[in-house]
Amino acid sequence: MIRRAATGLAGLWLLLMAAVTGAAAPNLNTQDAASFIQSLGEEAIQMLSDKTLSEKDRLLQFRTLLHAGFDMKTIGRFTLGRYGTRASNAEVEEFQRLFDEYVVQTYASRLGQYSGEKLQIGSARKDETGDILVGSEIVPREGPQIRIEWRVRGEPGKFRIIDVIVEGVSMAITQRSEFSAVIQRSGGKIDGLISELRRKLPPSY
Amino acid sequence: MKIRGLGNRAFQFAAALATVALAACATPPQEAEALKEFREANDPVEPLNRYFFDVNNFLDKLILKPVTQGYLLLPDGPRAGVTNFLRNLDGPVILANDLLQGKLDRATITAERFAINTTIGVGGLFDIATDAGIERHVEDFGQTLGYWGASEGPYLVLPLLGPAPPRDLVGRVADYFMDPLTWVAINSDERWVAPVRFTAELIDFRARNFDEIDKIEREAVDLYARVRSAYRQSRADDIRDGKGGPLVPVPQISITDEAPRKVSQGD
Repeated sequence: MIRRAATGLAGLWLLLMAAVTGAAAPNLNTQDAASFIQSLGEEAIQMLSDKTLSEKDRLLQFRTLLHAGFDMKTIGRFTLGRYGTRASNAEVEEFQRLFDEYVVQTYASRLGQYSGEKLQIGSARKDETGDILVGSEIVPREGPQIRIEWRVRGEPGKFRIIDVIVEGVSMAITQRSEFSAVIQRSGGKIDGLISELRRKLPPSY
Repeated sequence: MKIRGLGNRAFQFAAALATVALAACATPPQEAEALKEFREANDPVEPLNRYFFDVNNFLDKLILKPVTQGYLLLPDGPRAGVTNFLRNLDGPVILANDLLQGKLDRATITAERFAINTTIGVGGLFDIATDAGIERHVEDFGQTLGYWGASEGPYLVLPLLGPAPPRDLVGRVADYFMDPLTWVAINSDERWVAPVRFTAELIDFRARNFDEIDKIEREAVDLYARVRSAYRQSRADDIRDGKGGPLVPVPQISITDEAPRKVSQGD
């Protein structure tokens, strides 16, 4: 009786171990993250190369794609750094709204410039922080390739990009440095940054 | 004799700079968190740096940008020739720094590239090596110092030179003196070589990044801080030869937006 229970337990143990190590096997999630970037890239290229789209429609599609692919809230939070914890909820919300629009407008001016570049997905690895880094290269028709790493968080079906690292330069870190400088200049308050962002956007924001 | 003259002037310049720098030093903040941030920014002479940054920007709008606009009227072919030629001139210095970092594979690549492009590529005007799959990489003495563990030091912006923290400033001077072209020019008394090359490199760089620079200037809410951060990250990436570096933790927050975890700061 006891022996049977023991072997039963051992069997269960083995099964559990297999399940645990199976879940921890890195290539499972990293592969999924890589194909997430792959399909997002394909969608983006399709949107960019569709010459029938009006500028307005393209911007609309870009916005949808951005929100489907990027965790803008986490990125926004990160760029506020330590100032985010001090600001009021209303201020953070207003910042998030403007930051979102700022990113859209920033890339809007680049949307019309697509000239046949391809996105080549490289290897993906899990970082010690638990995020997945998907390596890739943008391959232009001619000229040097651009190395881009996508920092992805989440699980299959729920992946979101939280940083884009272009030739070793993290967009999130660069943006945070910049925002910190603005906040510091306005005495550590994020309303200084909020009004700077508003200045960069069309008057309706 | 010439070198001593140069050293003397450089010394006077450095002394004058140090005096101004001391006067322009930012006062460290009192509060603990702010002090931590101050140290991490590692930019003790920020007011002076910002001043030189503005001066450089002003000179760009006044001279470099208009000159580059004229230069951009040239067709792509000749401009690519200029880029190739200038890059080929860097060959010996890149080779020396490949070797100083003990990277023999990369040194071989640099030597092959230089040999091929200087001969078949007509003095470097054509980048035949890249077409043949021998791709270019860059090394300089600032990177060599970094590779052997030297830290970058406090951020520094100089007139005309731009970002030049101590490690990279020392690197630039060392690169200048280890370049055979420097000695050829000095020995044949061709003083125009260094300034002409420097100017050509500026225009070439500006031309290759013309639209992008304009866009970044329009977008940035603090251009100085953006450039400072990007410069440092980019140099760190160069030193690692583009191989993945450590990641800065990005705080976890859920869709419901609870209080974020503490973030370790990094620049």
